[in-house]
Amino acid sequence: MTFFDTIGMNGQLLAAAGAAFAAMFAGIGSAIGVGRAGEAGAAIIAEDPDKFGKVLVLQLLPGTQGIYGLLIGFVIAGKAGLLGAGTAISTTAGLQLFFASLPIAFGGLLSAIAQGRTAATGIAMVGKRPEESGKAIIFAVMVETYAVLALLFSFLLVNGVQV
Amino acid sequence: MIVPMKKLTLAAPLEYREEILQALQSICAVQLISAGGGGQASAEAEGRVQRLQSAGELLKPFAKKEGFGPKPEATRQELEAEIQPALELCAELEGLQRRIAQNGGDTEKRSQQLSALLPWAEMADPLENVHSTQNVRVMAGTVPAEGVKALMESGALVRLYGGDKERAALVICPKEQYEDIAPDIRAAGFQEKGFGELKGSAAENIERLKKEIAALKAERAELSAQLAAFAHRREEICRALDGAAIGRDRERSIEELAHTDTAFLLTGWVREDMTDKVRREIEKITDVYYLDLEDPAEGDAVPTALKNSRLITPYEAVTSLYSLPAYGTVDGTPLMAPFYFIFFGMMLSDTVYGAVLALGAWAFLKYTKPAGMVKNLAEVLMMGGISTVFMGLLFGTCAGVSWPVIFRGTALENTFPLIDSSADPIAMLALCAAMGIVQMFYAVFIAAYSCVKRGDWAGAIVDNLAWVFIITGLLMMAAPSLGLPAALGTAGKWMAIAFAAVVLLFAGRSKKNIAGRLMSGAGKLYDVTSWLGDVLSYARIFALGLSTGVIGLVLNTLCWDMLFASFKGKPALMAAGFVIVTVLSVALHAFMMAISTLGCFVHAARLQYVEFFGKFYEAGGKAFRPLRYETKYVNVK
Repeated sequence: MTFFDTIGMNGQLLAAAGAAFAAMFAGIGSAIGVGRAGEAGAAIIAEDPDKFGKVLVLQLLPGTQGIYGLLIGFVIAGKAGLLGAGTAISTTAGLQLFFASLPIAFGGLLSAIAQGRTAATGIAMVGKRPEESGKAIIFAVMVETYAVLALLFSFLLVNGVQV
Repeated sequence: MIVPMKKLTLAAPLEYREEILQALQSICAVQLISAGGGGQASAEAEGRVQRLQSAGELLKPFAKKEGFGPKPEATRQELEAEIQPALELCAELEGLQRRIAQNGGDTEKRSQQLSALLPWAEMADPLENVHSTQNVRVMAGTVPAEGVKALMESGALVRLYGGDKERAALVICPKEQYEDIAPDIRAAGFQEKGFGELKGSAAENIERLKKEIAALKAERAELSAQLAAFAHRREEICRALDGAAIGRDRERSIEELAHTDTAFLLTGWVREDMTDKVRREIEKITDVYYLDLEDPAEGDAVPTALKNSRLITPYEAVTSLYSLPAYGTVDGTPLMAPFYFIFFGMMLSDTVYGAVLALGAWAFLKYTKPAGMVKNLAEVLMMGGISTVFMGLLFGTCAGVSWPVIFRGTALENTFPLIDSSADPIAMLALCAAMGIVQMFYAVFIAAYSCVKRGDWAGAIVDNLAWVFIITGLLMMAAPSLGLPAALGTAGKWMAIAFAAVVLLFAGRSKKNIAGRLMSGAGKLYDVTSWLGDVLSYARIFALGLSTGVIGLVLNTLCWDMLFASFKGKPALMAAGFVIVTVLSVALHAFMMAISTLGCFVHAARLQYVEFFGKFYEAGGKAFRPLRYETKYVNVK
């Protein structure tokens, strides 16, 4: 039996790949985004430690994609019976679950990076005009919209899979 | 609503200027319009503020952390009386600061000398003896380790001493040869450094410098201790700083007023609801005055102040995060507050999180008594928490546990949540879209109302209300698929087409030529896509609500079904496991609650800013900044 036969016959394997994709890629995106915003934040805090609260809020924003990815990963894992004693699922269902993970995996990955960039610039703005931090937050949240939509669609797809 | 403003013109004798401004500052009702200004007195006042501020910063590392509680209260007179003694304290602190700086400089200089001398420690000759004679040139300096070989081969007599990357080297050669070998010496990287005025052997000097540095360090510690001894007096400085800032603001305002030798003229904006109070305050001081109040003229840059009922006021924080409304337009705060309240609750949608948030915000308000923006935000969160408690019951979970599990075996088992978004996502999506449409129609009605008030009927119908009919028509077209009569769908189709035609023909009514008019009408019609996008945007309510619930479920599964379950069957470990898992799950839930709250706060706000305000709100108001007590550490009574 070749490698591809193994994958082809095993729905759970595909579902596990999907769950891993969702948690992994969205997590990578958030790590990069939060990291980038954190670097920008450290530069501001060096000048004025009192801005910590405002900067922290902005730094946290690109972190949600990782959570969304974890969420979808978990839902997929639950559905495919990967948490505890599960029953085998069909190859079709496994493949469906795998595809369902893609919106949040890649939507999350790229939106978190873009949001991290926006947040970093917003943090630089807070350094100059702390009273406008609300607007910096709004800019970053605009990016997050697409992560939310990706999450939504991944969820709808997972939900629609018949196991 | 936006507080109506009056333009105030006040003339009074010069001798009452200080007193009148003090009165105005205390009632916080007038924003001055500057007639030029800037002068000696306010520069001095600013200087005082700066000195007190740096003194406060200087003591900050030694002072206790500022406690978590309401700011102390004081009267203006008390604060101003503290300025003089605090400035004397400042002078002492500044003296200490200078000595610390001096000490730092001295230490630095000696450290540098020391590190330069250390490689010479083995050279026994007194340093003052190392100098050129009539016929022999003697140079002390350093050479990089990789240049040592080249230096040796240059022809001069070289003696190497210590040092690692930079070796200390003594280079000796007859004077007449020097010109010939100088290029080689330089090429080897040798740099002459000399010993300056130092006397005695290198070892003696090193010993002396070490002692001096130790003494300086001791002095430094002593100075720091002296500074630390002042730490308990930082509060006096902070209080005086507030007093000085109040005085500085007043000085500045005074210099902004026009005046003659005997009288001064004050112009400014005053809240209409405060005009009587202003008059009374002035009458208390003098009855020789001229006061005139007029309505703002066209083109005046009138500042915006908001006034709303007790329940709505906190939401001004949400509005001002976006932008204040321009004066004379509509204040969006009371219009969006109910939506914000509901949306926030539906997004957080976990009853326990809501209760914790509401209680936390309540405690924060009670124990720290914040003011202004912070107070408003805390109240928004408190109300959001209350909303969440109910919305969690209707659409969400309870600390990640679903309601049917909690109500198992009771009559309520199948009642809550009303819509389970995991089981029936389409119903929840439809609900969100419906709420979005309601809010956006509401926005359209507000915009149409503003048009009508201006007498712009065409604007009201073509630019605004037509969209209500188009969207309603499009929705009605879906009626047959829901089992409603087909005629409804047909009627909807024609209604949408009719009003689309209205938009196509009239939206470009300002353009004269027909083609241009149709073009811009068609462009307007394209807005239908933005309506679609806006409706979809409300799906975030569902997505965020879902994410709170599912993440809560994930945490519970990880902590209890997996981690705690692994202790089962080992009674000795069960108790310890129970404690650990409880602590862990509380901490994880608290963390997720904080992140979710932040997300819900900003996403609920975004729906107001983009989807709701986008349709009627005129941003760009300048905040009303009256002359007042702007303090950091003390609340002025």
